[in-house]
Formats: sequence, structure tokens, C-alpha cells
Amino acid sequence: MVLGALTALIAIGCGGGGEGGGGGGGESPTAKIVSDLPRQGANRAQTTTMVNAINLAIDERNGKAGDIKIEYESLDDATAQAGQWDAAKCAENAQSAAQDDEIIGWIGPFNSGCAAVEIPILNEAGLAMISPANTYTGLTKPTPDKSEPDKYYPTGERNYARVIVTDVQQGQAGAAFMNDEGVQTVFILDDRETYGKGVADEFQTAAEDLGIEVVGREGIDGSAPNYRSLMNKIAAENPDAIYFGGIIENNAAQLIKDKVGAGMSNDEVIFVGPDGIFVDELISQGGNAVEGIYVSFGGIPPEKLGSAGQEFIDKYEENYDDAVQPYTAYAYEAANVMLDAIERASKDAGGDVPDRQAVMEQVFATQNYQGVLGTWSFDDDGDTSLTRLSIQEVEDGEWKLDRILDVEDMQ
Amino acid sequence: MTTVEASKSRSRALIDGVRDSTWGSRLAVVLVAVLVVLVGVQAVKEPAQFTSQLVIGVTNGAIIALVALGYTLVYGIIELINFAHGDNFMIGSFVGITVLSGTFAGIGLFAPISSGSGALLKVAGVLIAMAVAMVACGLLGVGIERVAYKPLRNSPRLAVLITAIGMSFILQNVGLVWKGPAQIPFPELISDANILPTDAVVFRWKDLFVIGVTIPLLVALSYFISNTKQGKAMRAVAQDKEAASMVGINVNRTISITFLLGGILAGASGVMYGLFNGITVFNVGFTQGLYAFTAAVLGGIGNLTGAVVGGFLIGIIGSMADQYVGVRWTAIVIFAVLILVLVFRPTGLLGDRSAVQGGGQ
Amino acid sequence: MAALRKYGIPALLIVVAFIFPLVDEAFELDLLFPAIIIAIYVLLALGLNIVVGFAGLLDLGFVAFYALGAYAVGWFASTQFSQVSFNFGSTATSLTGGEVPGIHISFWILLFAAAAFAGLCGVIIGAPTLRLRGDYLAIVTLGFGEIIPRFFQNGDDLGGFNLTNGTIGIKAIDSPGIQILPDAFDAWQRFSTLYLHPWYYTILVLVLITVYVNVRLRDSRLGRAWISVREDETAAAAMGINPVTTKLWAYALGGVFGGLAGAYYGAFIKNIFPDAFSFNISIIVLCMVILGGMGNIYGVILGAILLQGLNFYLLPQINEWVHAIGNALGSPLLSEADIPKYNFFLFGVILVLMMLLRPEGIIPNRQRAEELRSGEGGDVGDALGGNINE
Repeated sequence: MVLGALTALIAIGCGGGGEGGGGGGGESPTAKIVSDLPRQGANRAQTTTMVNAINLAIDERNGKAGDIKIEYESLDDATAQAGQWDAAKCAENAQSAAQDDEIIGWIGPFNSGCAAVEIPILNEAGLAMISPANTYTGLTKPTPDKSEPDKYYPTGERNYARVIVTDVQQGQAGAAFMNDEGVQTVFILDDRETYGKGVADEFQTAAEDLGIEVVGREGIDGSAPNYRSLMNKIAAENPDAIYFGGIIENNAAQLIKDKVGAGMSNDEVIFVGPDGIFVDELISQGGNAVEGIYVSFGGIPPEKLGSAGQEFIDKYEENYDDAVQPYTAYAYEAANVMLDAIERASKDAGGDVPDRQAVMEQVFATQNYQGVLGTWSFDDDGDTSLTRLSIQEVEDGEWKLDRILDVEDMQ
Repeated sequence: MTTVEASKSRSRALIDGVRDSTWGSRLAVVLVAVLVVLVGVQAVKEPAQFTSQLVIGVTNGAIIALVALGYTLVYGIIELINFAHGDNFMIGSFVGITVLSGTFAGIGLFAPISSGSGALLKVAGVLIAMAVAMVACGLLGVGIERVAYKPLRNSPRLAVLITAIGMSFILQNVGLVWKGPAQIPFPELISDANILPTDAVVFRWKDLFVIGVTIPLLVALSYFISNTKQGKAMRAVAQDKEAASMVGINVNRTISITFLLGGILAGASGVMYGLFNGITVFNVGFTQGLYAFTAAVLGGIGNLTGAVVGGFLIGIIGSMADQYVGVRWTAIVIFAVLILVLVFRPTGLLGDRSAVQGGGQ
Repeated sequence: MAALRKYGIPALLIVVAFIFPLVDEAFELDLLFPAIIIAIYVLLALGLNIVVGFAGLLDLGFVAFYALGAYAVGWFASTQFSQVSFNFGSTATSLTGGEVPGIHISFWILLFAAAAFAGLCGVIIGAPTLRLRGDYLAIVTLGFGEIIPRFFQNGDDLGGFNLTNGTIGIKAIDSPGIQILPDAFDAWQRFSTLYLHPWYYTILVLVLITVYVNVRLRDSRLGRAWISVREDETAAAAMGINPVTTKLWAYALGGVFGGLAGAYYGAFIKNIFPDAFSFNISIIVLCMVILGGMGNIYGVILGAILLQGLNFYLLPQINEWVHAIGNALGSPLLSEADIPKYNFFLFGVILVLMMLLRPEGIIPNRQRAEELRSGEGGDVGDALGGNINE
């Protein structure tokens, strides 16, 4: 009976596994790239635009990088139950990509926690990764944790790069903004996850450097029904501002609602968050309560990116119905960098499909790249040389650019 | 007996009670006393903050109390922990938000009621949402009983418990499919503004709403249980099923009505939860359900007053833990209370032994 | 003939299991990763089977042992406690040639240490529940099942000391390895994440050991004591069986196997997050035990394979079929349906239907079947029935 079940499983498995082996053959050599993004939950609208942007980048090259055909698959690292990224799913996606020799490039992931799981696996597989959205510093640069970033790279070689600035810069931008606004005391909250805690830590360091007093630091439970008690406690401390490091899926909207409900309006007590809550969903979930909050964004919104950025927005809107979101341009840039690297590597390989090692080297060789984000280079750690960030505010139910900060001086 | 003799025998009973008590319960009493003293000290040091926290605790607790009543009613009558009850509560909040949005199954019946609507519309919206949710959840409760629990009435109790867990999962998935995994915002129909003139103590219109709805519901339930024929039938079946059927009570119908009542309370508290917290999500039933069950056990399972007292207590314990221990430990504190109560005093604060140990008798 | 039946089928299955990786490689089935995950759940199911199936104690918080085992490995085979540096037989090496921070103990030692640790915790969790009746027992175990993962989630700031690294979890756990092997077996010297054969064989051996221990337990005096305590505790006590120690042994052994599964899982996935240890897992494992047949070792293994196979293959496959049908019929509802989203719905339906229609499971014990169907059952002893002769 067990044997029967096993046989049935294998039969089903054969049916399911068969399609993975297809492709190849035919006229031009084919290579495959994948993206890994959370396609369910609050970030779904955002990641949909990112997948569209990657498709746009491929279509603009007629589906080729140089002489080789490019196939693209979008993977999902979120589960329905969690409504956000799931560690086991991240591991599974990375494992299956590692085993699939056709895949020579990886775009993603979106969440820094997911990256912590995937980078070691893909590092051993030698697969080049470009993330459009991970900002946790420890993935590429040292942190107080002595084992970072080496513990993500078991082979000792780097395979991971990102087109977005890290939490260090984001924390600094948040602190610089508060300093500009005359804030003297701040209460810091975080959602206790990799990204949220990381950016809150960086913010704390930067704020203390600028002389802002941190009157308290607490980690919240993202699944609590309300935070009234917490806000009650904070209100007693009377801070000038509250900083929240976290993602929208961890109940950020409820947190802001309860802040306002506890008597701390967004005028009296400034609320600043990182790009983890820079999503339209926040406004629909938070309603009136989120009017007047600020977020930092590890980049410049597309409309302000200059002519290249505007061109991109026009092209996107021609081809797709939905609106460009904050990370769309980053996905587009990451895809183009990856495709350029594959093209260069393929030329070196005489027009054939390049191997993963070659693609990896070409990705890190990206220097003075002129894209929609501006002109920038990857450093040896895979970080971008861009230093400009923006502060956005919720005004009349929409995100509006408040100011652009350059944190080069704070490095 | 004269009053002097009566008081003497009372005090002797008390002394005997102390002498015969176990070390466990002595320790428990000491611990609780220490906690009360600690909290009291805080209350004296910062009265305004403490009162605000108390208000938060009481209002959170009111919602928990209503859900706890559902658990205790069902347990009292068929000794089943209705795992699906918390998810019934979640469905109630979903029904409420659907009513308020004005669209059902793609058919737009009326414009969504939001914070911008007129006051009369808001009141009507709240009342209609609650009424519809109460009916829907009541029927859902009866339906679950008929489909999943009734066929197993003679099976080992654990079989029914497992079925209840299965129903809970099914309901959670219905919620997941219906509204998706993200949090769903409720419109702000009741003001967040402080009623009291002082800023030091916060008592909002929302808090008044919760208390204003809970108390009539409790009164109505209490009246139903003690003064109507059906209520009497429920109490009889809870005491002894066979005897009740022998005196002509329709046991099946009484059980169904119990589930109906539980469902009605779940529906009402679901909508209240949504309006009060401004947000609902498909898996809210699990944690809130566990908290409510803790409250029911704390008060004494099977005892209606106990469920209410337990609910308020859990709400207060929650807000005090938020304030003085740290927000992230609150859930652990409440579950620890659950375990401690079940292990050391399964009868709860107000319960009596027979309901717990009698095993059907 | 009976001997052939009794030993033949298991022997055949073992042989198939051993050659499976070679078949997998030859046909490029790519099934090793799911097979390993299934095997982990088999271990969990066998552990829960001891508590629920043999001893009749409904444990709704079994995931706590899984978490304990995983964190035990996380503590002693990673850079978590980077304040100290202690290496004992592990494969962790520093790329810069210096000392590796943290405690690194050989995986093989840790496997058993973690299992023992989880078993000990089982005794601690079980002790307060001994006097409790069936459903209260279930709720208390549920409470522990909630507290322990939450403790791991919040344990990054215990008076300033970072014990569990909180929600971020413990990363980069060391790989197992047998370093004394000659270089010809370099895949076995340090298990890599890409070549799964060593992992597969390791867990296969673990499963075989577990099955063997379970079979011996079932047929031992302790196994019979469990049955008698399950059926009627008072009578058992009157016959001289100590219900307290009997129940505690059930918890301890259940915890041992749960912890074993957790320890392997931690090393295999290399990153443990407290979110991974949710109530859902307790229920899935319970589902496996009930579906397969409570108390029946082979039934439980079948249940684990079926349910995980469902999760991994059947649901995505049905998803594709539904999409194909939807595209053929031009129905957007079908072609965009996301079937794997409903997997917990399916588990719930399975639980309800099994209890209503066939509570004894797919491979039943006749005695238990009678018990569950005949009617009155379970007052003090809250029996779910069972039979040693299956």
C-alpha cells in the first residue's frame, strides 16, 4: 500500500517535474533568469509592477541578451497563510534554482530576512543575485554581529549585489530629517524582524550621533490587535518624534492609528518610518490617521529621477495598466544590469550561454552604469555608490515627495 | 444560630480552610497578593496613567468577555471546547465589514459607509452590521453543531475536540479566501476623541460604545437564562442531560439554541472588535479565541458570571502586562495564566468542582 | 508465509528507500528535497504517535519539541553565542583562518543531545498535566505549544542577553560532516546544500532507528502499560501500573523524537525562525497521525507521506490542472485560482471527515475501531482506543 503511494507520488512527480526540463534546443541558445518576490499579501500590488518592469526590460531587448534568448520566471516566496514572505519557501525557491542549471541570474529577493536564507544557498551554487529592495546592512557590510557578512558567503566569494542603498543610509536619512525638523527626543519602535530591527538600529546610531536623545526603544508584536497600551506608555514620555523600523505587514497602520488615538497627533509627535511602510496599502489601511507621517525611501521616486526616469514611466504606462510604484524602477534597473552582465559574459563565451561564474563576475564589474536611477557603480561588496534618498509625506491621502537628502557627508 | 455564633463558625471555617489548604494554593494566594500590591503601588504612583490602562483593559476585556460567554455556554452544556468559536467571531467581523462596504457578492447595494457619512447613516450602519452579523454567526454556530458535533455526541470527547479543530481550520480558510491574508481596515464610524475634558485620562467614544453595547447584551443574556423557559431548559440540560430529556425537554433543540446564542454573541463582538480596533484579519479568531477561553476557564468554566469576570480580568491583565512587563510578553503572560489556572485551580475563580470533574454527571 | 509478510514488505521498502537517490539521479526526478522534508515529518508523526496513539494523551502543542530540538542545534552549532569560541568536532571553519566565534559542537553529538533535551522538556511539560482530563490536557499542551515558540521569538533581550536572536532567528547553522573520512568521500566530509545524498541517507537511518525503537516500545511492557492507562487509568493503577511514570515516559519519548526531527531540520534548512514553529504544524502532524491510524506505526508513516505529498505535489498539480481547464473554458476564475492556498482548508476537512466517518484512520487497529464506533467511551481514561496486535 505504501509502495503504491510511493509509485503514485513518483508518477505525479514525473509529470510535474517534466516541464522544468524543457527549453533549450532550437535556433538560438537559451538562458533563464528568475525573480523571487512576495507575490501575496500587502506587497502584492508593488511586486506585480516589479514583475512587469522585468518583463518590460526583457521585451525591450526583444527577449535577448546579446545573441542568446532569455527566459524569465517569477517565483513567489510568500505563502497565503502568512500573507508575506516565508523562510521555508525562500529556502525552497533557492534550492530549486540552485539545482536548475539553466538559471544563470537571480533578481531578488524583496525582504532582507528572505535574503539571509537565500544568499548562502545561492552562494554555494555560484548564482549571481541582484536585489532591487534588500536594505539590511549585514548582507554586504560588517555590523556589530561579528559573523556578518561572512556567514552569508560560505565559499568566501561574493555573489550578491543590490541597486538600492542600505539601512545605514536610510537610518541616517531618517535622523537627518528629524534633525532638520528640530526634533530633540525620539522613541524608537521596531517589528523585531531582520529589516525592521536593522534599520531601527542604524537610525538609533545616526540619531545619537546627531545629538537626538533616544528616550525609549521597544519591539512590537506584529500580530497584536492594538497598541493602545504601548502608545499610552509612550505618550507619558512625551517624545518629539517616534521612529518605527518595520514592514507594513507587521501592523504598521494599526500602530499609527493607536498613536493618534492616544493623543499624539502627527503634527505634535512626528512619525517617521523606513521604506518598508512606503506602500499605498498603508494609506488605505490607516485612513485619516496616517495623514502627515513621513517615510524615508532608499532612493528617489521615479518622477524625480530625471529624463531617464520619466522615459521609463512613460514606457511602463504604455504597456501596463497599473501605476508605477516606488520599487518598480529598481526592479527595472536590476533586470537591465543583469541582462547587460549576461550579454557581456556571453560575448566573452563566444556567443554561447555563459556559465554562472562568468555572469557573477560581470555583475560585479558593473561600473559607471547609466540607468534610470542615475549613474552609479557597484563596489566590491556589491553595494551601489548612490547616496541620495528621499523623504515622502502622506498628504491628502497620497504619497508626496517632501525633500531629497544626500547623506554622503554622514558616511 | 445567633450572629455571634454564626460569625464564630465562619471564622473557624476560614481557619480550617487555611489549615487544610495545600502548599500550592497557599503559594498561589501569596503570588496573587504580591502582584496586587505591585499593581497597587503603580496605581498610587501614577494614577492617571494607571486609570487609562485600566480603561483600556476593561474595554478590551469586554469584547473578550462576550466571546468567553460563547465558550462557557457550550462547555457547560455538552462539555466541548468549541474551537471554532473564535473563528466564528472572526467571521462576524468579516460580515460586519462586508455590510459596511455596501457590496455583497459583487452586487453593490448601497454606498459604503465610511467616516465621511452622516451621523444617522453611521448609527444605522453600525446597528445593521451588528444585527446581520449576529444572525449570520448564530446560524453558523448552529450549522457547525449540526454538521460536525451532533453526529459525534456519543463518541469520545477527544474525537469531537479534533473535529472542532478541523472546523476552526475550515473557517479560517474561508476567511482567507474571502478577504485575503492582509489586514482589513474598518471605517472609522465612532470617534476616537476623548470624552473626558482632561487629557490625562483617556476615555474615548469608542470605549463608551463597547461598554454601551456589552452591558445590554449581558443583561439580555442573563435575563434569558434565568427568566425564560428556554433558559431554564438550558440550565437543566447543563446539569443532567438524561434527566432533562426525561422531563420532556427537547435536548437537541436546547443544544442548538445554546450554539445559536454563542454565535449571536460572537457576531456582535466580532463587529465590535472591528469597529473598536479598526482592523480585522482572517486569523484573529485564533488568538482572541484562546484569550477568551482563558477568560472562561479563569472565571470558572460553565459559569456565566465567571466568564464575564474572567473576560474583564484577562483584559486588565493584558493591559497591565503591556504597560509593566512589556508588550511582547503579554501573550506569554496570558497563556501562562491559562496553564496555571488549568493545572492548579481548574474550577476557576467562581466555578464549582462538579462541572469540571464530574465528567458528564 | 506469515514471516514473509511480516518481514518481507518492510525489507522491500527499506531496499527501495536506499536505492531511491540513485533512481532519482538517474531519472532527474529532483525529488530528494521533498523526500527529506517528508522524512522529517515522518519522524514528527512517529513521535506524536507515541503520545497520542500509544498513550492516548491528546497533545496539541507538539511543535514545541520540534522548536526545542531545532534551537538546541542552533545554540550549539552556530555563531549565536559569539562571546565564546568553542569548537568540538564540528565542521565549522573560518574563512579567514582564525577562530570561529560561537559554540560549534559536532552535529552527531548534538542530534542526541538535542533529542535528550527535548525529551527532558517533555517530562517538564508533562508533569503538571498528569491529573488533568482529556480536553484540559489538550489545552494545556496547546498553551505550552504557544508559549515556547513565542519565548523563542522574544528571547533576544532577556535582561540584555540575547538567547534566541528573536524574530530574526539563528542563521548559518553548521553543516554536519564526517571529517575523518578520506577525501574520496568529500561530499560526506561536510554536507553541502546542493548535493543532498548525504542528507537523505542520514535521515533515512534516523527514520529506521525510530521505527525500530517504536516497534520495540509498542511490544514492550511500557507499551502495554500505555494501553492500559489509556483504556482505564483507575484499573491500571489497581493492577500495579504507575500511571504517573507511564505518562511521563510517553511525553519524554514523544519529545525525544520530536526534538530529533527538529535538530535535523535546523541543520538542514540552516536557518531557524520562530515563525516556522506555529500551531499549524502541531495540527498537521496530528492530522497525519489521525489520518494514518492512531497507534499504528505504518499507518502514521503513510499518513505523513500522504499529507506532505499532498502539500508538495498534489495541490500544485491540481493547481495546474485547474488552470488548464480554466484556460480551455476561458474562465478567469479557474485559470487564476490558487489551489495551494486552500491547503489548510483541506486539512480541516480531512480532520472533520475522518472523525465523522473513519476515526480509526486508514490503517486501523481493530480494537480501536470498535472503541471509536461503538459509542460510550472516554470518561476518566479518555481513551482513543488502540491495539498492540496490528
